[in-house]
Amino acid sequence: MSQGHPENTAQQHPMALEATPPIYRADMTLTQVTRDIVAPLDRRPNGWWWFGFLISITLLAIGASAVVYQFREGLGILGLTYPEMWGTYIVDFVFWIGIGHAGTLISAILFLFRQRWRTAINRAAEAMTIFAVVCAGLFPLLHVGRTLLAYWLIPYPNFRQLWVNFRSPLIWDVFAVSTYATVSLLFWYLGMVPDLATVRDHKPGKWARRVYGFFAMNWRGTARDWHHYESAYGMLAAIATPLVLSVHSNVSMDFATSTAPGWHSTIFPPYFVAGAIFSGFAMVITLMVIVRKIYDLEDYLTVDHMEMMCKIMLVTSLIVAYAYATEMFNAWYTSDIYERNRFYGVHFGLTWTFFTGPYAYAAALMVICNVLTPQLLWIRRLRRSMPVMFVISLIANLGMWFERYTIIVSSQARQFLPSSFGYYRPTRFDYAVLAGSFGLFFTLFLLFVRFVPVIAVAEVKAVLRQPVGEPAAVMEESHA
Amino acid sequence: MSSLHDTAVIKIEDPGPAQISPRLRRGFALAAGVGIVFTVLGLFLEPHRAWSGYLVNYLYFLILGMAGLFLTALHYAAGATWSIPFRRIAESLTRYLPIAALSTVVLVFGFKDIYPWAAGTVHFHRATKTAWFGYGFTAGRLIIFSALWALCGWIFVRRSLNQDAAWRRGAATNWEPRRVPGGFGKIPSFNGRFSAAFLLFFAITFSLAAIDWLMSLEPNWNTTMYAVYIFAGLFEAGLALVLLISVLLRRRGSMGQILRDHHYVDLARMLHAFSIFMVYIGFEQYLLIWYANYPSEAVYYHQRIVGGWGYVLLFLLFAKWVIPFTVLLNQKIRKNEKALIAIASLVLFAEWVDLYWLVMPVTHAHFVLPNWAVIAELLAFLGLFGWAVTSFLARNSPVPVGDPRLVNAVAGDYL
Repeated sequence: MSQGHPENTAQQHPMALEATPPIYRADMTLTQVTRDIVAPLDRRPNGWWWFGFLISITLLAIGASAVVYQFREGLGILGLTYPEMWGTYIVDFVFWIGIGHAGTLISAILFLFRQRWRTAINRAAEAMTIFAVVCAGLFPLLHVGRTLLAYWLIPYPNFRQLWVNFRSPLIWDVFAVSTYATVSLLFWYLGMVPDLATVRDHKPGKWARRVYGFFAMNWRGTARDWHHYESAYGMLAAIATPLVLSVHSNVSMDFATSTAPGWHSTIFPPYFVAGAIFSGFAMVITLMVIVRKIYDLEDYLTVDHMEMMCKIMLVTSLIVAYAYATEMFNAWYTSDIYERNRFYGVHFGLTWTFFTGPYAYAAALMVICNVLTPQLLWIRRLRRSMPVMFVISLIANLGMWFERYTIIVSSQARQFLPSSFGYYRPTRFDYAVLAGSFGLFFTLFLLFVRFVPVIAVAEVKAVLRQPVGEPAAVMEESHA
Repeated sequence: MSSLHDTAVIKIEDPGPAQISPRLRRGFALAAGVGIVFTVLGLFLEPHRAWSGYLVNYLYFLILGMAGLFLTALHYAAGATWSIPFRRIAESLTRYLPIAALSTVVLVFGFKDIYPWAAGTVHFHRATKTAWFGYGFTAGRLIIFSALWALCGWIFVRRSLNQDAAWRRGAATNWEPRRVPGGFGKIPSFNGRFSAAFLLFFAITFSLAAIDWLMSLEPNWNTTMYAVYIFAGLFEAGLALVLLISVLLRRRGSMGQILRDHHYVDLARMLHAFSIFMVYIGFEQYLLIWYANYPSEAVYYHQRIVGGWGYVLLFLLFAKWVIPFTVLLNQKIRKNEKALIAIASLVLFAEWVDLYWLVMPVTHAHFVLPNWAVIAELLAFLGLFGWAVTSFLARNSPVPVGDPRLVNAVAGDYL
């Protein structure tokens, strides 16, 4: 360490270390943490849980019947018709895969940034990610029409020497999404192992102990267990980090690699990633506001945690707004008349502009929900208020669905030839399957909160006696 | 485990003004003087080449100055603690911005030699776009933007120095984010709010300026990623320069006991992360244009790959991403001062090459090395930049000693 010059050291003030507050209440004990988080698993679910479960399973049933009907009748029951060959299934796919981004961001990127407040939300966010990816994965399978042949998407040696088109972004999607699903699942499950052991040790029933014990993989909590666990966790975090960027970039390329006006835009990859994180955090906020209330977890999911998530939402909303503005500016600036027509064109007396044409409602909803309402989060009082953030998060999710609708559907309606312009009307089956995906998502989430600790018990305990930040010097030492 | 939290009192020594040899400052002044003379000669003798070179060098140093401003604002807006020891160095870069604003005024005189829309070789068929690239309007907005950036830089530095002065007097300042009672959330200070507003302003103005400066070299070519690409270069080069200056100052003993190894590790990690961001943005832009293969769009990369320019692109890939990424993966290297100097210098050089690669192929179908006029311009701007930054650091402490959370940053006690 180098020394200051002697003549410079005249100024010396002892400064007290600003007391860094703990993340969780200072009087919380380790036993209490286990009790608070594990106890709900032993109780019978309350009326609210059953109410939610009933609604979810009903929605799921509606969606499933629509899907069965589609298998019988074919894709004709949907609103797909030329030029609109990518309809709400693709919108739903992008929507759900976007929702799935918050989990990995929280568990991987915030972990690498040493944001220890993530311990309260990472378990639920990761679970949400997996369920969202499950929902997302269904849509391309349904969209291809002959779902039973979907395994053709996987490149494997076959007698006819037929291979997938490796240059197609749709195939990249297959790889990206399945990698993402695998890594997220591993990450989620690995993080859960110590907690499953905790549940195992608290369950009175013999069978429950066996089942949890099986999934806890004989976890004993020895120093060796922890050592292996932590190095694996850090490694998975590093692997998962590029996936946060790559998956949604890939999804954006389904559109951006084409030459279609409104789709071909180089800013799409980062714009889609920011949008995905925005919608993902909106969904985490929606779920956490409910979970902390009905499970009495206000001491764990504190207002400060919720405020942090609101801030991330605000930042990503601004990035999305920047992308919208860039698109609008570029559509004016460009010399490409098709791109201009997509946003500001006038044909046959029809004004096909972005904000006055037939899809104006979707474009307006997109701007109001994703750009305007999140600006309320600049106000501290509002971003610390549960009802306000709950409503804003719902609005944001609505807006993000309509953003994808605007990008995917309304761009196809305005391609090169005015004679090929069209208008897309989703049918009741489109809506039924969308409702079914929500049903699937919430059913899985409700089962998750019923059977697995919704907060990472071991991770909360690890930071219980430490202040918020992890001292960098300590990190250094542990790495050395 | 170290006993960081047992040490309730850490002594912050004021390291005083940075130990910068007067010879270095004289050298910068001399370079600026000689460079300016030859720049003027070049602009008259070889106007076309020299004005393109002027654009490259002007932008390079303006981007470095803006990087200081951006990193300072980002630091405040995020309420960060870890980056406090680097803040003054970032602030020192903004000292160049008034000179940059003046060189914007000079740039206006070269519009006709640089931009096809000013030379009248390109006509837009729309009145609005013709008006947008009107001589006066374009010049006006660029000058106003750069003047406002310089003003913002001045406000940040002023407040930061005032805070130091108050600390030296022993007075308390209340300019840092406070904690929410009973929680760990933070209530932003004036600096935080001002920075958030500045970042919005920066996003809009810098994007528009990037289009004016560079994208309008080919006025009928456009892409939505463009401003983000320039910004990614700014971010990476800015982190590299702050790292480079802090390593050099610490080796000379100017950072006192304040800058420690763990600060290097974190800043190097940021550089690592944003080298990935750079390649991500650059690659996605390239991939999408290559894939769609629109003739009117692909011509941009075609021009920048044929005629030897492709090797420059390859160099950029390695210098901006492959080498920093692989080298900085190693945790130990993030503390190795010599390695950090090498990597930071490489990234800074690559940013200059990047701008050269963006500007020069427009007028030169085949790769050209910078000629004497371009090198004179580099010398002139380097001299001015170096002189502005070193003069500031030689008068002021290179760490913001007045920041009440500096002690937390030294202890590695973050958030």
